[in-house]
Amino acid sequence: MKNSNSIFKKITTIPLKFYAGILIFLPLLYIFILSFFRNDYYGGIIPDFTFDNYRMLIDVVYLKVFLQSFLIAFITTFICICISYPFCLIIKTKKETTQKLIMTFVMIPFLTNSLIRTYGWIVLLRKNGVINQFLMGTHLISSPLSLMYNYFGIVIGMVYTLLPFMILPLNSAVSKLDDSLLDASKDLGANRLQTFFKVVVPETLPGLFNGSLMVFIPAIGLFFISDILGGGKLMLLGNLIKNQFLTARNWPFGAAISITLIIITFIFVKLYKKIGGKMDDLGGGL
Amino acid sequence: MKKVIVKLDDVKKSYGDKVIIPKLDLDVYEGEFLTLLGPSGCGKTTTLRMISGMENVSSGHIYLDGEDVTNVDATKREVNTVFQNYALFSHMTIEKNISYGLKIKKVPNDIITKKVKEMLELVQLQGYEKRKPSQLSGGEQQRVAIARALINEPKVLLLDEPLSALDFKLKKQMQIELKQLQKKLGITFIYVTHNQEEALTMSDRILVFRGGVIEQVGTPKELYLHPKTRFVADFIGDSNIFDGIITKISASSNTAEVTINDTVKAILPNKNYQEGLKISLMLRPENLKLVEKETSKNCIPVKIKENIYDGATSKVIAITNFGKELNITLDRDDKIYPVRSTLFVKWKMEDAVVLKGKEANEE
Amino acid sequence: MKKKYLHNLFLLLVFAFLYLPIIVLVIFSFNSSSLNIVFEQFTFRWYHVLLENRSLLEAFMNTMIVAFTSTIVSTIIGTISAIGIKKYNFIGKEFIQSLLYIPIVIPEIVLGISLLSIYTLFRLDLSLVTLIIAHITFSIPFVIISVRTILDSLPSNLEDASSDLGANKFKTFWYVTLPSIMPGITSGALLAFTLSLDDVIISYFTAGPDSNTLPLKIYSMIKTGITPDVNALSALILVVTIIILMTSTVLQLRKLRKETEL
Repeated sequence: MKNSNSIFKKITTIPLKFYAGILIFLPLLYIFILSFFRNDYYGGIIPDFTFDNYRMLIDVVYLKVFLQSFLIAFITTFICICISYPFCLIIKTKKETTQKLIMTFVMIPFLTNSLIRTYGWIVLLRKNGVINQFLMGTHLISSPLSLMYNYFGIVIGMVYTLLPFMILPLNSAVSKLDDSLLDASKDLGANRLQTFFKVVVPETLPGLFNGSLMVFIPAIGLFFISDILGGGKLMLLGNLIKNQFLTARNWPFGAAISITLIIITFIFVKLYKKIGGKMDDLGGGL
Repeated sequence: MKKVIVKLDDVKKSYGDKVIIPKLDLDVYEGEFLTLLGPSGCGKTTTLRMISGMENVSSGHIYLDGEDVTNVDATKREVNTVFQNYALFSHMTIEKNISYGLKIKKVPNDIITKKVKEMLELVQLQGYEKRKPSQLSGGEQQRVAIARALINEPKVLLLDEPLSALDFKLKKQMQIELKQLQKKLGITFIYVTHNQEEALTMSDRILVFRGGVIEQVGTPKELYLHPKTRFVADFIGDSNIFDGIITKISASSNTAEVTINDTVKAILPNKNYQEGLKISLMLRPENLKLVEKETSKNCIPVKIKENIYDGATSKVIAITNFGKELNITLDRDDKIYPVRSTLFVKWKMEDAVVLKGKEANEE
Repeated sequence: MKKKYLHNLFLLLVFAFLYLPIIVLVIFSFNSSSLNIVFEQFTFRWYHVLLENRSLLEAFMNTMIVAFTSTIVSTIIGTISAIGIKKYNFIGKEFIQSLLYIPIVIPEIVLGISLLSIYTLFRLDLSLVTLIIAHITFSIPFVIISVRTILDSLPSNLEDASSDLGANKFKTFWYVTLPSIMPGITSGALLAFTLSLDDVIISYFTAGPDSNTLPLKIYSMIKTGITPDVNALSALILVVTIIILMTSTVLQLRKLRKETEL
């Protein structure tokens, strides 16, 4: 009995240890070490200890990229919240089977390839695209609007790709919200807006934070959206890292940016845990 | 002399430094319904799990039907368990659940089919073969769990709080069914519960556990009428307990006088008490009577705090002049006094139970 | 009444937003004009062209190989690991558990470049193998969480019950534990599969020149110029995934209904 137990324990824990050690811990450790090295002009790595890579981040050029990325991520998160709250509160009033059906239809596009769907937006948004054609055809506008290759296009693409990440956790929080709570608030004389801010938001805060985390963080790194819908004109952090690794070949600098991103992520996660969020819900919401 | 079917000999159980059961000796007789009763964490479930083999003993021996099974694996012991919350295999049909033990033992299929049919009949679930556990009510699931254990013809059936998930009415009904089943089959049942009422209703013998130690063993009646310790008195049934000191021994009438709270005098039959001995006096609610006039002995002035009528009986909560709350059960034809009436409560000398020893004044 | 009307209008707009790009892609894949601008005439031409585009089909094959292999491996490792985490204590367990959340929360690009770096450190040439390893890496935590959720919901004494009835550890695992957690395993596997099909960013850094997957191929084509057969392929992929997802949902619902009815 003891023997078979220990064999069983080995089978169920050793692959896990190898996986977590070699495929998660080691690469991150290596990136961390790399971020303190120097690169030579041919893309090689010189193992000299230096803080230069982190110092470089404070350069105005890169600070601008940081700001731009965070601004876009922030706007994306905000829009996602503005769409998701009403969405979840409305479907809360529907029958349970209808709710399930609606959530399935939210999930479906999200489970199909995001790049292909982003490509679909090109067809819609470009100068001679479907939307402009439609607006001109109905004489609402006389000349085509520039809907992509700018902030607008990027934000549309980001919101589109990340919206389900907000709706899913928020919906599980809102659906758990007790109806009597809303009634009680109404009964105590609060209007709809007061009820929303004083009852709904505080009660669903972990879900809101979960969604914000799952929208904000990926939005920083989604380089292909700014490539495709921003036309490569706007440099985001994701694009910056990509360039450092693939074109500029300054890996230590790219590593330093990545480590900074990881630290920012950890701060968000800490905050999320502090307000009572569970780690499993972050991935389990999928 | 009844045959001993399970014997625990000097059994000790500890997890690391934490001793769960310091020393346990226990004989369980063939065909009896034995209940291990106690609050959660008292070691009763651990004891059950050691008998089933799911838990190893730290030292000591366990005998099953005369054979030392201390080192026999749970899979090989001829005992079976009905688990808390049933532990049915939700992906299997009722039929598959019940036949699981025999399938594992590679019993031929035709025998399995026959025995499953018998079992379903026994627990009155004919026609449920192809259903899944989730399609059954709590009581039905309970019966499947029993059938699944009994089909292996265990020498002892262990039941670990099997009724705790059922609602009040169903619980009552299952108590009767379980007791009848045990009588019909004649198999030894060892039943674990923290519910004293369950224990009183079903058991032949009850073993009260506290902190890994047996507090008292006896029939339900013995435990109710003659609890030895304050813990048992408190745990089984409702009780009113007074702390007092033996102040006088009267050799002529062979009685002892107890002083409670410096004022109240109570008389007890003397059992070699000595003056100055601290004791606790226990009175069941049904043995207290409300009267309007004071009697000289065994009588305390009280004020009515609350009258509670629960359908079958009337209960009174009264407060003594020294601030102790008493539970009193009224007879059907007793007068009901309004709240705040000042009265006296009295009792018969022989109804007072003395809880002795160091334990008596604890807590 | 008016409020309800507004509510439904809002839901409709959100769904329009979610489905518009997909619908447009599917429609234009049947457009005879190759410019994606105005719908001229219905045609299957691009689907025929697609069948002749060797490099696209090759990318499709790669995508499938990667998705299937990584799903199978990550489902197996994820499932047994979830059991190990649930049942046993071992040195560094808490640390390992917190490591598991990293692929879920950090930006994909960071995982992509760190895997690329470690491959380079070990002098592994980028190929289908490195790509599959990368996909396994980001899938395993999702499988573990999916299986563990089910494990946590199982009664703790299920395995005790099995051994009480005479089954040893392996029989208990095979007859009781595994079938009980099957729903968690399948949903974990489904998630791993779709994540693999969906991934662009991590694949971008870990795929070799000969191991382009479809998303990567399409990504490079968007930059150099799209041919209408890509529309056809995208439409095919979208429609196929949607059909698979819908069938699995319908089957689940039906199973649920059947079980509650009987």
